[in-house]
Amino acid sequence: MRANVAQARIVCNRCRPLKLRANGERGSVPAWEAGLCPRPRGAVSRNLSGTPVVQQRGQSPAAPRGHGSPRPKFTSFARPVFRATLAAMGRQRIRYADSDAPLFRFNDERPMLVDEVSRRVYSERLRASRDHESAGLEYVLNETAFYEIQRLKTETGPEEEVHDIRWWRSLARRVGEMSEDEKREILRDLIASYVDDTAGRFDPRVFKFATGVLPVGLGLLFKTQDLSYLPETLTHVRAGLRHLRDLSERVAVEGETDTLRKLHKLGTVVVVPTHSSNMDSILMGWALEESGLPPVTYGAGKNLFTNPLTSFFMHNLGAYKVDRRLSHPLYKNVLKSYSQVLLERGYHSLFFPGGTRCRSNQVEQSLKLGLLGTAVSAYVTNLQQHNRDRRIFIAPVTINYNLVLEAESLIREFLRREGRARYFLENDEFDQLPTIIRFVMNTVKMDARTVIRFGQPLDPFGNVVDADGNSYDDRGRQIDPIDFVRSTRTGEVVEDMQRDREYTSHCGTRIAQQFLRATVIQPSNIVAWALFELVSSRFKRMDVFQLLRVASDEVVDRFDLRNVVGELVNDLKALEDRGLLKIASFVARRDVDDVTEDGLRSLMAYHIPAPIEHVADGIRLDKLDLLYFYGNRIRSYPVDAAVVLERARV
Amino acid sequence: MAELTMPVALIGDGDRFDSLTALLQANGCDVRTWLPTELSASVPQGATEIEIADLADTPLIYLAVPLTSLRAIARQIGDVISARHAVVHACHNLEAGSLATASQVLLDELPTRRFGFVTGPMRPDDVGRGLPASGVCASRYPEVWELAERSLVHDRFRLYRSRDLLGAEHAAAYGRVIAMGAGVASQMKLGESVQATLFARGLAEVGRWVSHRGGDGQTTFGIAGAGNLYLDMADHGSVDFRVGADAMATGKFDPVAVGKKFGSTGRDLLDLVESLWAGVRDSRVQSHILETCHLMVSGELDPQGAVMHLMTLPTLDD
Repeated sequence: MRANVAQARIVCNRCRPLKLRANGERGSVPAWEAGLCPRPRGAVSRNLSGTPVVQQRGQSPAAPRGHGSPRPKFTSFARPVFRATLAAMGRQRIRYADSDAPLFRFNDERPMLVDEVSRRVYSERLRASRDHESAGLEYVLNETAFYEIQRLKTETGPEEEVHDIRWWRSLARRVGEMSEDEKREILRDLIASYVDDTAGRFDPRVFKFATGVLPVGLGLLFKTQDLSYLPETLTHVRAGLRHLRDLSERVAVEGETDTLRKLHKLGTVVVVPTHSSNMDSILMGWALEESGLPPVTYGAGKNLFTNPLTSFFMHNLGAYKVDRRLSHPLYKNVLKSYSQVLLERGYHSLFFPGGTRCRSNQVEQSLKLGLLGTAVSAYVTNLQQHNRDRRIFIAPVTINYNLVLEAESLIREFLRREGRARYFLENDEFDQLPTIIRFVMNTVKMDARTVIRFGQPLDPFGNVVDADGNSYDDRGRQIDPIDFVRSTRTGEVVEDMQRDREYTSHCGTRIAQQFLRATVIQPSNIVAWALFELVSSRFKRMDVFQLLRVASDEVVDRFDLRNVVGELVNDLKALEDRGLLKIASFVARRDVDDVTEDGLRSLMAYHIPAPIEHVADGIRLDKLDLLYFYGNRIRSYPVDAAVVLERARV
Repeated sequence: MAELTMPVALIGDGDRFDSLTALLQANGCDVRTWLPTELSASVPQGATEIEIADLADTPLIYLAVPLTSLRAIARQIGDVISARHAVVHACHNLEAGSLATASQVLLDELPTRRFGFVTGPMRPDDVGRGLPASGVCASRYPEVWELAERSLVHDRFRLYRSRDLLGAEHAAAYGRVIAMGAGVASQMKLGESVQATLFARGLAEVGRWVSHRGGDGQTTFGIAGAGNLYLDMADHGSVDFRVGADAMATGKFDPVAVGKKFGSTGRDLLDLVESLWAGVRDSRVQSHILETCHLMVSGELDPQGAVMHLMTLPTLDD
């Protein structure tokens, strides 16, 4: 690189050009590659032939420091020294060459995408209306109007509506008398409105800004112990912000990232994470960038587009709106078609297959398959219409918090739902800035980290995939995924909705298995489980709901707790040896006292009032529902509480 | 339904193999057979013997093999076939211990997911003589139904469709146990009233089990449940029926004697009773007939005691 730089005209693509002429050579490289100015976020490295290069260890003058390295003192050094220090301590970080990402061409293609989706949905509806009398356009319009009127009678949310209730009522009144042309016209307009409302936007400037701001914001969320080192001068502010970007002390990204870095070049990647907090999509955006993976488009709840904390980014980072209040088939049709067209055109995507945040905190096993099914449809359409074997890869991911921001409202809702009481959560912790600040300020004492773990990638048929994009069956035999969509009789690639639903269902089962295997058990899960089961064993005949009513203020002996934690960790390690789960590295490398202590500290760190409290004769349990919530992670696995307690001699 | 122009592979032995052979040949199919070493099967008249590698060129495969051999045979087949293949089995059994159905075993072993289960009242004698008969093809894949229809249906054989693959497999397997109990009752000369009671209450029991395992309880009352059970209990009865009758005659269920007299089908049946009972015991599914059969097979009750046991149960809802 140095030799090339010596022969090149060096231009800083952020600062003014540096007037260094290099022996008449016409090529140029960014000055930051030559170490002459800081690398701007999102800048693309290119070699002299113009090929983008992925930045490797040591290339960046501001490469972040590694795990466990000593924290720098900002008050005593100037910026170049600080940068050099960080580079010297540099942990390998591979950045994606941003402008290569399909999402960067989104704005250019948006009108075409909207047209294509509108055309497809309209054609499907028209075809269905010709094939089946019950799918006539008047029924489609009437059904849509019926659902919308019912919804708008009770909902007056801040979200924009495609049409108000008067419009829908007018449609319902008139539809029986409309001519076929009128019905077609209204249907076409309606579909176009839904598609336009759904389709997001992508602004590269916002993306660059977000990838600069996001780590700092998340740094503040997850790494606030560094606040004690906040710098005192402007120079130090810059250095401090850069330091805060290194989230790796608070958030670890693990698993199959190397495989995915190869796969996204071979096909389209669909990231499917677990979902337990509104912070998930933000955190996943950071995790993808941190892992050198391209940005993805994803469906986000419409509430996130109206939330003042998130709406700006949601509107400009390629997210598309999913309005969960709309339950009529026409809207679902639009959503699926939109997702399918994106996948066909190679846009890497992200779905939360759980559909919504997991209320119980158990590892999600009941997955919604609607959007996931678009992966098979897109694959088939590409093969059929474009004769293009563009692979689609499913990347299961688990997000494992030690503490969940919205834990209290989630478990409340879960318990009320399980108790069959109707309850609609209108306002939870994510909408409450003071709660977020409390979460930020109180989680600094924890040693355990949030872990984002990428599981084994799959193809849309549920087969595991290696880094070269090859699919393998359960016996390890390499298989050709095209055969899944060939007709048994003729061998041709054919569309078969029922067949593809079965494949998607199978893929969902495999994703759920990957969720279990890639779940990382945290100290808070272990200690919460132990505390809850210790109390539960005193009230053997009671179910969870009875227990929650009568068993608060119970005191658990510390010695008993320690013993149960020890036995439980042994069981969890045995499960980990069988590949059924992961336990956090903190748990793996510390003794039982450390794990117990960190779990207790975590549980007391954020929630007010704390679910547990140290008292003279042990630990008093004040909020069993929260302990139940955190312990539920472990209840997803074959751990027998009676056996664990028996071994612990409690 | 147009004729099937592609060759069809048929692997296995026993009654259901014979029935399928007769049906395929009656329908003019080009039947090809691979003989696995696990079975002592022979090539049926009119069929062509092929090597295992040739299965790659026969996208429709019928498997009529005992479940105890199914995993090993499927693993070999899995090395040569692709995800395009459709595999239809005719196995009335559940895997010992895991209670996995044949399609679940195939899912473990084969690269394809297009499975079907063909079952129903189709005795080889009847089908061979061209008497009218019927069956059901249970599958989650419409193309499998279509292929089964094209290859089996003709003017003397009617094939129904079912989406409830799991339910059909469990119903067909559990029904064998009821048939065995009916065989015991028949040998005891307890009369047709008891046979009718066993038929009706046996089906109710099967239905509960099917629902418990994730199938549709209604499947029990179709071809895969009631159809099979009726045929098992009719005339001289099926092998399962005769196993029960023979045990009644000899005074005990001796696995060795049953194996000698009834072959692998008889031995499998006794294993099935014990496996099912182990599964039912922990499930709280009401299953008095199965429990009684288990007590007889395990030697804890003699047939007279078994009758007494069933007749003195508390009143149950019908």
